[in-house]
Amino acid sequence: MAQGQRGTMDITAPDSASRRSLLRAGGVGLFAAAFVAACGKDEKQAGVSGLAATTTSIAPSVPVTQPSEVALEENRTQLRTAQSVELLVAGVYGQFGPKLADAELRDAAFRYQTDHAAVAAVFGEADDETDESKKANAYLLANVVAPIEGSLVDDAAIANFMADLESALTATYINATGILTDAEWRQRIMSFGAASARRVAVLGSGGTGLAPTESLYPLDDLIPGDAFLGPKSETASDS
Amino acid sequence: MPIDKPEATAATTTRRTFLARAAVGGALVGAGAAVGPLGLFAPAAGAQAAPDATLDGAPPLDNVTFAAFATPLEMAAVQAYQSALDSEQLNSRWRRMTLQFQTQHQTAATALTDQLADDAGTPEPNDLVLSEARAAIDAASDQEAVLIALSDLEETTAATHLYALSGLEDTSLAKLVAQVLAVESQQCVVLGRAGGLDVESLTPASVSTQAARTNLSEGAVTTATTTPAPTTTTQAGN
Repeated sequence: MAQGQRGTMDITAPDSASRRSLLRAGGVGLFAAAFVAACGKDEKQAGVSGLAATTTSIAPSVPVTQPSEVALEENRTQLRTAQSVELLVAGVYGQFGPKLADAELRDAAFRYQTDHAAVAAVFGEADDETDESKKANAYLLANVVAPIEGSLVDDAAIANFMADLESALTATYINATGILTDAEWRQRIMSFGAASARRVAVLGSGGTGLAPTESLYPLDDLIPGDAFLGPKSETASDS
Repeated sequence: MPIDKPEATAATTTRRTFLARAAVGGALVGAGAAVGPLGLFAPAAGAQAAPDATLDGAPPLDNVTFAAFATPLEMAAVQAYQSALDSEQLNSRWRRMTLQFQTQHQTAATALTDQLADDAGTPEPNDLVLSEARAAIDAASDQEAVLIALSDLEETTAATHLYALSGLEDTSLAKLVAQVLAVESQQCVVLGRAGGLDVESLTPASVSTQAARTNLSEGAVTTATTTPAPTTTTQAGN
């Protein structure tokens, strides 16, 4: 997935080919594989990658109808999923942060761990929690974290993986702004999404930092459809 | 759904504290930090301090009103970057980087221009934002100071987009704005770190709107049939 960092640039190493190699060395490909695998299973999420649609040229009128139950359920799906992914990312920081040799990165990882755990609590209080949402996202844990765990052996690999996860959160929250029916929540989720984007700029390129190279944050790193905690995942588990 | 609804009381408060829950005395319980591989992904066993960023709420915003305000803002950023490039304070590496960021602001401005009213006048850079940024750049005695001035500018533009998100009614435009917000947040960090700002201050748990420009009439593009822009929350609260 290159944490959307197909759209970013290594501050210290301008050569894009080597940057991409480094990202792949950090295990980016595994997340991409999980994403690709999931895309075929959930058309709803698979179609959201790419630049945001900007076709609306006429201001909409203030909606006078209440959101449909389908829309409300989608809201709940977004929030439940966000809670579980925040817990997952907090867990990754907790597990791999102490292994960072660089003291500044290690300190940052500790702060980010607590920050993500706190944000998870916010999402948990926003809606009815489920057993799934109160745990680290099971799909990402099995398909993204577990496969790469053994390769996170140095600062560069660990930092890259953390940056990838932060970028996944950023893309997922940006995507949620196109889904959530409540404007206040669209703002709130992006207050977290922008914070994740900032962390990408710190942790990317092996912890040396990355700068964006596109004016619109790429959505390539949106989490796979199977990672979402909605009715669909329950149905899938039954089949 | 128990998602918070837009606050009807927004007109009576100038600033609402986002997630104003009491911090838990710093006694954060990490998410299973002491547990072994993969076992740590059990639920966090304890209270977490809530992020405590301030989020101002914008009034309802249609696309035309937002674009009339945000396009000049992005254009001001483009011009401010030009001032930085002209300052002769930047080395080749940072000239290249600032040129890139300038281009990205121009692209954002162009995207927003598409949303302007058909009878909109020619957009001009937001004078207030530009003059503040230029003053800081002109006062800079070295490269780091220039980069901090640009980082501050990015903080302003990003916070303004975050502010607007709570008012935008069109989710397609909201998503576009979120993408711009994320990129400008990153640019803020990149420039700030290069300018010597500490990482902790640049990477909060959640981003606030404290640096936002909230006067939506400020520098807005006029139209032949201009309607007054929504008042700011500050004004509304008075």
